[in-house]
Amino acid sequence: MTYDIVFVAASALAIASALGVVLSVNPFYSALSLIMHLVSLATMYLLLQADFLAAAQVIVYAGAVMIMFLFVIAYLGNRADEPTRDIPLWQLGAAVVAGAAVVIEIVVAVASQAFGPGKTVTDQFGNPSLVANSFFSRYLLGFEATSILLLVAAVGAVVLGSKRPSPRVDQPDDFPAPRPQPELELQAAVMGAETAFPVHHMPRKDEDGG
Amino acid sequence: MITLTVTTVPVSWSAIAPEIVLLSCACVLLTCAIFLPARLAHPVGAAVAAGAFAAAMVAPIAQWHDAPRTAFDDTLRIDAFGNGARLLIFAAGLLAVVVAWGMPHLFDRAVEYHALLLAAAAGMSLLAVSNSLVIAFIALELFSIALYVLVAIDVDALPGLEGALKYLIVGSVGAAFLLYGSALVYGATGQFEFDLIAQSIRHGDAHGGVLLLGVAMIIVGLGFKANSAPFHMWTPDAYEGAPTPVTAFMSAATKTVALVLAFRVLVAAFGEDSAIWQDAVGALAVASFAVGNLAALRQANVKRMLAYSTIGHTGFLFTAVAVHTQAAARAMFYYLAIYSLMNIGAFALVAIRERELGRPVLIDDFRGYAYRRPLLALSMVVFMLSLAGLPPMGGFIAKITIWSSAVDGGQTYLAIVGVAATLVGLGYYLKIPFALVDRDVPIPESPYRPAFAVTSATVLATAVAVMVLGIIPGPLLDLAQTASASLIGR
Amino acid sequence: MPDGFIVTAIKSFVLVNLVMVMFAFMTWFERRLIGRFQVRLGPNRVGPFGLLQPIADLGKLIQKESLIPVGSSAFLYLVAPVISLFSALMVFSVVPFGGQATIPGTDYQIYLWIADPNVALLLVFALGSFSFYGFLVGGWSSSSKYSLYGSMRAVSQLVSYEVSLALAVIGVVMMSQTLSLTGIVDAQQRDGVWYIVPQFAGFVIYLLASTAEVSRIPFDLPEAEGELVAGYHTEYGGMRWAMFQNAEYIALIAFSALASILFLGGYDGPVLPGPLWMLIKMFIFLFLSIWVRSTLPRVRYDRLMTIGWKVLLPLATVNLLVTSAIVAYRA
Repeated sequence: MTYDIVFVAASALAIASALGVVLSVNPFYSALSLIMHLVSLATMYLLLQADFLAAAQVIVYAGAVMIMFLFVIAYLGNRADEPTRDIPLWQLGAAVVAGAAVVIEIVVAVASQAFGPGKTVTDQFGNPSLVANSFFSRYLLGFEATSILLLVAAVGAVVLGSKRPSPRVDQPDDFPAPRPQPELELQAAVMGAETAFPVHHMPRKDEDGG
Repeated sequence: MITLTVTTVPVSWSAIAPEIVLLSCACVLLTCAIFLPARLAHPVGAAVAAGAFAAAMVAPIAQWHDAPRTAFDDTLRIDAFGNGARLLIFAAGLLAVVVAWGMPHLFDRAVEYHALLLAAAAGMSLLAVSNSLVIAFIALELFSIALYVLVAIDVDALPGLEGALKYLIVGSVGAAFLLYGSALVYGATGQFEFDLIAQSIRHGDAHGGVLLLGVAMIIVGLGFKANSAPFHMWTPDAYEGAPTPVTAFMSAATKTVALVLAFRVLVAAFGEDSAIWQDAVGALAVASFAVGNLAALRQANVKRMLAYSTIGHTGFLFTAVAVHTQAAARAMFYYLAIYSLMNIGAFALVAIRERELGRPVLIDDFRGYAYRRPLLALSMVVFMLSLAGLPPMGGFIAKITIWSSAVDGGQTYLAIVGVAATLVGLGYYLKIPFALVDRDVPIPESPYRPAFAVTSATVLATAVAVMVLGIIPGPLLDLAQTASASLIGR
Repeated sequence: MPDGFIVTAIKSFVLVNLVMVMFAFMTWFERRLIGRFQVRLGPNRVGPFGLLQPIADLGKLIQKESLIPVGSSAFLYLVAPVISLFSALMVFSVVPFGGQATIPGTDYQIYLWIADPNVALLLVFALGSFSFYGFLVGGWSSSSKYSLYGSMRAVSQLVSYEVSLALAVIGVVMMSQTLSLTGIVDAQQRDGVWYIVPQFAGFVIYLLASTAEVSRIPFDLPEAEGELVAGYHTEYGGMRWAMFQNAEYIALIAFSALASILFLGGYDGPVLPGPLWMLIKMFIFLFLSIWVRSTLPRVRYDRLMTIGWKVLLPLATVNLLVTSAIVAYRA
């Protein structure tokens, strides 16, 4: 009974917060709704007696991923964007039609066949040693590949985020191709005009004769 | 005191030897970059990357005739199909290293370029032999993230950043589709491994509706990666903005690996349910034919035109997937090999011209080029004729084998649409050969630059290969036969 | 809930009030002690030795006007301190103050903890990561630049040091082979040594990182009053400000309790009853924290990041490697 109440409450909160993610105009509220959503999912794990999964869910998503989301959103400032402002009407209409088609498809596809009896989970479900076991056996390769994935992402972030090294002049093949830089050309033109200013016409001090 | 018993799987080093070689070389390269003097960065990076690609080819070649086997608890399937895709990827990587030799704005990021190239190739290689939706997704993300960065590696160039951002956002949507699809398939069948999914479906354990949704989403996700219309939005911008060697690598290797994955997952996991996906893939093929070829007609920028043309080529490759017979697999393999060669060759030539001009290359920039660099111009003619599918080039045989497999496989309408698309394609591919021999345009007085020996040699070599493989297609078709026979036995 | 619902509710009520009393005592103790360190008296007017000073402060804070800054997101502004306080208090639900005890005069047995899940340590970190949101949401919703800067600093500092903190704690987990806090205490009895001895490096890292986690001097940059007015709670006043302060001190008490359990054997000790040992050990850490606060200057922000990423993290990783090698060798 208690479990049923908690389950219903967590599900309702999960759905409500998922809607909040999509419907919030302010991205900060969207991110906060997403956190609520993840926490309600963690509650469901708790209902399955999977303490470890619940804690991992909160630590990884709420503790690490979402905090970065909020961090970036807060940095970008308090801008509420209005996603529907610049979209032409026919695109909105097409989106509604396509979305409705997908919803109908999902309903038809899922309702066409009854779900079998749910699987029962064992007492060991989601406990640390079971999770560790699957990491080191069946999903060993995936686990290792994920660490490589994170390494590559970190290298990529450094490449994109770091300052460009100073231009090299010591290349053996020294034909640096001219690259289009319209702003700089404009600047050069302006500066050229200034240097071409008739300097000799300017009155000089010693010509005044006192 | 808790005693933990961990049952580890036997680690099959030979199964992931290419990935180990590539990734360890990438790590060594990144570590050494700290100590390398600036002027050595590019030579050392190129040498290490080229060596790594060459070394990575050893294992697939050595295992070429081995019987298919699974590794890592059924999550990998090492067969000639995957090994052939690996060889194509490594060849594309090798060519990308060579084409990048002499790219001035890659000098600053030479080490990172080569390390990320190696990482991307490693991800693709893992994807080519993956037999599990989990591994497939991780490998896909691995190479995608490396490619997102590679597109924007010239961080001062706005087109590159724009292309990378579009690629990132649209690519993430595609990856999300693939992930949702995988989750739904897992929910329906309780399995991640392709052969176990097929088994579960055969036994009638799967929930049909959920499975259908899952397959649909997987096809959409693959459509994004294979730049098929209507999921192609990122392609022109990413291809145009990326540094040209990256574009060459992306166009060849990403396409190869996306198609190989599509073929493998649809045939190995859902092969017996082909009725539910065959028409969807066929529709994607038709859409790609239409969008790619019609949009390419209006492009003035050569890279953009080639980008739309790759969308058109996805139509042919998806035709093979829709047919999914052994003959179709063989045709797809041959097509992928030829396509990779001619696309990399064409992009390498664009890279040369780009470097001569110092700006993005338009079709008009090739006017009269035949009188200045006749050999390169001749190569360009070869590439364009081959891309258009005219004899005696490799592209002609590739299209013929696809069409014949489509007709044999009962998908005649795809062959007909393909012929129509080829006719439209002539309209833009032939613009460049005509421009090359245009006598009316005065040759612009530009400062003489030395020939780009390495890149030019690459261009010539790929051109010769495209022509030779078109005239003598037998050996390559035999290899493609071995590859396709290792996946399906029909 | 091994004791049933009613008893657990009573225990929770007692515990929350106990922690609140500890917080009140802590504010008085800190001010008196810093007074001593700085050769002055500290608060000594209200009650004997100024002991009733926290009550007087409470009276003052309650009377303050409730302000909501213009342009702020009112809901988030009001809820932020609650998040912080809640997540700090929740940690105590898994902190054991003893094993089983008999209520004097009866033969009724109760457990001296509220819950003992087998992943208690992870839950502590999960709740700890929740306290970030109090700072971030509070700083953001105040719509003030100092608040925002303060919360940015707070979050980047907490995220940086949480990594080292977790790695330092994993050394203990490896030696005890359990994530349960009572299990860790039992393991120290079993091994016959408090883990401060074999895990001394981990202990030092834990001490530094936890100081940063609760933003105490020398790592109190999130509220560096010289540059940021008061950090993320600049715009807060009255009881809402007090709740932030409350949360911070309770987090400090929680980290002290955790340090006692992980490194000093928790409620394990001779002669005296377990809970008393626990309080004594916590008191040691609280005293240490006040001592450091009155002694050290604030570090510069780049140094803070350098210490976190380039000193503590590699050190914690090496500690982890060595520990895992030893554990593997012994098994």
